[in-house]
Amino acid sequence: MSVTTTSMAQRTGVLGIKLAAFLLKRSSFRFTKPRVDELSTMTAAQAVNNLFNTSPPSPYIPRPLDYNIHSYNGGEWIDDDDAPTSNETNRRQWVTGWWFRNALYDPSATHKLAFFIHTFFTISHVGLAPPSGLNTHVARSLYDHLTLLNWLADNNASLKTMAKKMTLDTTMLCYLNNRSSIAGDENENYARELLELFTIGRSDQNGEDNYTEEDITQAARVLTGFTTYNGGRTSNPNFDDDTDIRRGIADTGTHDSGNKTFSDKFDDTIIVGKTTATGMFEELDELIEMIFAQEATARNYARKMYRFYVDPVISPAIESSVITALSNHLMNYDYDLVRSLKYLLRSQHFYSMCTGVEGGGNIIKSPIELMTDAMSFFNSDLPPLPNSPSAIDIEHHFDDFVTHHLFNRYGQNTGLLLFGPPSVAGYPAYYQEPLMDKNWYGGPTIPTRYDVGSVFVKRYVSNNIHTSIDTLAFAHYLNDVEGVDVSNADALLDAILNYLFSQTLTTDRRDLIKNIFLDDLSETNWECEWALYNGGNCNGTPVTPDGDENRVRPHLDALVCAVLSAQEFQLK
Amino acid sequence: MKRRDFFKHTAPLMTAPIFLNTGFVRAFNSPELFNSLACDSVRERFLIVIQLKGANDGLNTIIRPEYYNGGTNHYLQQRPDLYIDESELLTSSNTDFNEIKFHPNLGKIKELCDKGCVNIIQSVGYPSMSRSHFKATDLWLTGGDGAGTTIPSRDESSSSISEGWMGLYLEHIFQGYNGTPNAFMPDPLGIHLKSKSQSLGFHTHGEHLAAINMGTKKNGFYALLSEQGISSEFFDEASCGDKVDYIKLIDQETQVYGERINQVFDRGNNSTVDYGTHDLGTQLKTVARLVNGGSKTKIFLTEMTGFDTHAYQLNRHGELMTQLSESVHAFMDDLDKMGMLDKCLVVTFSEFGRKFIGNGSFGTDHGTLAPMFVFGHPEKINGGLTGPKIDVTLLDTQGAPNELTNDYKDYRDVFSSILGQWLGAEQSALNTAFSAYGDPQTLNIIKTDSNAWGTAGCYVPGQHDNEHIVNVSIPTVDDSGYSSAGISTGGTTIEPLHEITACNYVDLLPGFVAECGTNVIVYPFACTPGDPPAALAMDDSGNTEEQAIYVRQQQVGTESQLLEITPNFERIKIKMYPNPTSDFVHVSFNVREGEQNIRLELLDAKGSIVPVKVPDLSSQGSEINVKLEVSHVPAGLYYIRYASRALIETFKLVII
Repeated sequence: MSVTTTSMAQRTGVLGIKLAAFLLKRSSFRFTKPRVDELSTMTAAQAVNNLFNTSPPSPYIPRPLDYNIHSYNGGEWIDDDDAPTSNETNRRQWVTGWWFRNALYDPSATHKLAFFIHTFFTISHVGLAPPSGLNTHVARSLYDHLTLLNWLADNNASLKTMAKKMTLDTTMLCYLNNRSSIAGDENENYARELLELFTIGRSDQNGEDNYTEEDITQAARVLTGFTTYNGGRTSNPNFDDDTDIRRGIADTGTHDSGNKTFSDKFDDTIIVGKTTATGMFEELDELIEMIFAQEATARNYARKMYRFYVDPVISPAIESSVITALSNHLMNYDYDLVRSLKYLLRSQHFYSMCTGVEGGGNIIKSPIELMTDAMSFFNSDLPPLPNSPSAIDIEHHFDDFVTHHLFNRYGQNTGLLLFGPPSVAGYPAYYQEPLMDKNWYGGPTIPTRYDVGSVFVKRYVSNNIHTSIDTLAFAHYLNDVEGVDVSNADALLDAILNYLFSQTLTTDRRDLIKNIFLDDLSETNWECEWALYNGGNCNGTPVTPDGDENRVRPHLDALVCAVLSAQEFQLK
Repeated sequence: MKRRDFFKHTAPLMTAPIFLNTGFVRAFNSPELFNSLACDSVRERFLIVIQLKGANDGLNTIIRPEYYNGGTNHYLQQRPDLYIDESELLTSSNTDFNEIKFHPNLGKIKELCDKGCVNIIQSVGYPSMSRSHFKATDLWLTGGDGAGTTIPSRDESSSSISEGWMGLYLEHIFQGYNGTPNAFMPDPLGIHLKSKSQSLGFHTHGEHLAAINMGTKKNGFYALLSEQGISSEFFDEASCGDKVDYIKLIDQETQVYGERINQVFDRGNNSTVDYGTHDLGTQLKTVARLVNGGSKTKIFLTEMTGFDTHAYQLNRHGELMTQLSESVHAFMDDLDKMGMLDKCLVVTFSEFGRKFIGNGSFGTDHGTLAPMFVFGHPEKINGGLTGPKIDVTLLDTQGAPNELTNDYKDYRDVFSSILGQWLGAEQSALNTAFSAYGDPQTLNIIKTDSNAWGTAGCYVPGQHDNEHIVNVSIPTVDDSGYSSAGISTGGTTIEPLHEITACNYVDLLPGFVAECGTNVIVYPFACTPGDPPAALAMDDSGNTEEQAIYVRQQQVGTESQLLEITPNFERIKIKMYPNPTSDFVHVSFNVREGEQNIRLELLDAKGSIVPVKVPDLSSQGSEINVKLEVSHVPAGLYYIRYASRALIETFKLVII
């Protein structure tokens, strides 16, 4: 058995099934057998490039829709101020449901990277009060926010660019109150979290503070006047030049035009106050450059990347080796997040997490990953949403699946309301030491986590979610498309376990699952049942199939339920 | 004292936390355990912590009249959009609170102040206060401060994240606790309501969790757990790593405690008090019911969110004050009606206060000093104010009360006073829980005559008196049927068959009865490791507790069928209604096969028999349904005791 290495040397040679599955699980929301097979023949460099250069999700849906107003412009409400907008809470969920659907069908690394950015440039739409003047527009600005996250993930954006664009993001302006921060009476909320959570972090690895309380005040002064456009969304003429997404404005009337003097933590930097809108953006640039000039900022991002993609625990050895290398890489390439992430995902160290003593699969999956891994691997499609959806199509996807299942049932019970973390620090699994990812796993969340498979397989939930895992269709897919001889119990198990589980199972462990599948009967019995159902040989003798799926479906249901409620599936 | 010293007696268990394979008795053979077990009165005490997440604006919670006086830091001028008109403030009729006035929505808390049920520590902080929500919360939960004190960590290889004071206290008091129920502690040591994640406050480096998380309400809690997950057998330990172990462990602990919490919850009741629909109220209602149902969980952590009022604070903060005030009052009222108020102490905290000077968004930014509230029975706590006030003329350059020039009490003084004086923590336990602080100062919050630690008779062998067996839940049964021998009745006690001491007394698990002719004493006084117990309690099938627990653990480990209670644990099911009642109660049950000499009796909270007329049960056949008149009985907490040759069970009845 090899051991983990801290070497950032880039891995060479083709990945093979196990490492390709490991890479895909860590970097993409869409996890399928053919995708693993495709990546398995590539080197790490080829596979990583492939993951970051793949075309958009297919099928891709461009908008969250509303079945209640289907007769009005086909349910479109995002880009039309005149469309009825009741049910603000549901609308915010539909926007995230739109994002979730695209994430599930995205074979690239984009959506998972967008979610990673969300974990540290945090907003929450849950309970976010619509400020007066922006009433009912939070749902629409949330759409802009998620579009921005996707753009940042998809365009090799520098983290500096992210920080600037987030500052002008309407949802962020509302969430951390910067919209109402004015000269002489600044609101420090955004300035504080920009420093503490979004960029440099509170203190360095030696416990030294990275900034002072006074620095927060000075940063808040720089940020005064960046506020929301308070007219209707479609009449907002302020588009970001790069993203073409509507954004907030620079209001010179409420901007503090005095000079801002920072502490020695920032080398006593003075940002000269400006009075014009252009000047305000120059001040913002200077503030961001000042923060990103600090090595602590690069290290903080390097730790966030490592915790999300490699291991939630950072030992002193990793801090001095991998984190140092990664933060140097970030600084050398002007904080190009994707470039540095590729560097990390190609490293020998990353793959040693899969083959080393840790055994691979050493991060507890987020609730969203549990669901997307189960759905994508077993070919479970979301309720259909064709090009011209009917009202009932829209209802099934947005109201039944998204609101009733993804949020009100699954999200509530697993502790992950998508884009609705409990605080501005984000989801505890990504920051709360020392438990980190273990935060996902505890008393109240366990039943639902183990239930993720049977909800889809057994379809017993009270509110129909209009989707399922059809285990027989999946077996046919393996047999007819993937060329797996599913009449052979071991071949069927291999096609699932070798992909879905990061761990190598002991013989006893594998037999436990196998016996659940076989119902403690013989492998020959399964071979014969499959042959009697679908044609083929029973113990060497051809049989005439009767097409009775009751011969095989209960076995397959039991297998998929067992696999999805195995402890191994909880890990990636 | 170093953390690792506490574990030298229990280290083997830490490596094998799933099965009690070292045997039940050996798990508790450490003399320190017995020495650190608090006496009866402390054993039945609970601490309920309310975390006000987001930093409560203490300066608009209790408001001092001098804020309205002139000067540069005039309250009305500094908070033009946030101030509360002086005429709207509430004043307590209790002169102990003369100095302060209350937010207009704190009427219910003011009522509690009137009755002497509240101690307010006005100005609480710590050196170099952090104004980061997350750093400050970590400090509050781990006993640290911002002055650069190195917080010791048992695992030197890990990061500097320390262990929570609640978890450390619990581990110290319950040394040998290994994440599985036992006769000493059938419940999880702590329960964290609402949150889906473990609080850092309960965190220790022990592999098991000191606390179980549960939702706001118990309904449906863990109900499906036993049906889920496949057996966690046959892992290759070398290749699967610590996360699989963690998942296995949490599954098992959750199953074990899930059953117990369900059982306790179902057995418990609330009084008729209306908690309203507040989220905090719902959490507290669940706590009250668990306590009523016999939970021995020491610390319940509840939480209330929404206090980060950077913008448009006035109305939002007012709603929060209403929720806090009404929820706490309902909880206290409920406990009082059920006769449990003297067993519960409530303490609030928030990560920091807010700036005195309001911001431009009609809100307040992060500040420093803030008050803490302690609620309890007026005979148990000192009502009134503790410590200095927050002087708002002493502000820092940021506009927050300056903790360098203001006087304040350290939050660790508050928590250590509560752990010591309310929960009976030894000095060594306090030193452990607050090792970053050094020597906590004891505040005069808890009445000294209810101070458990150091009170004569509590821990000192030979000085114990018969009060120690008040409320012993399992009385003596002799050959003639039922006898009340062994139950103390307000000081006069019939001689127990074995000496009962603070050392060798234990509660029994549900379903157990004492062996005929013995009392319930299970462990010898000397508590020497390896000594056989003086006598064993056993269940209907003759399993001792030790055997039965071992069977339970085996089942947990292999079959995940814990919710299917084995026949050995079958209990009598009694229906009582109405409950609470004021005039009569219907009691009905099915007589189990072979049951003889069934009696029903009414006991008061001290175990004394209260005279009630009970119809002749033997003439009623196998389905008993009787009506008991209780209109002559004073209001309070009582027990209906069912006693037969084979079984004794008590059921709580509240008379109002």
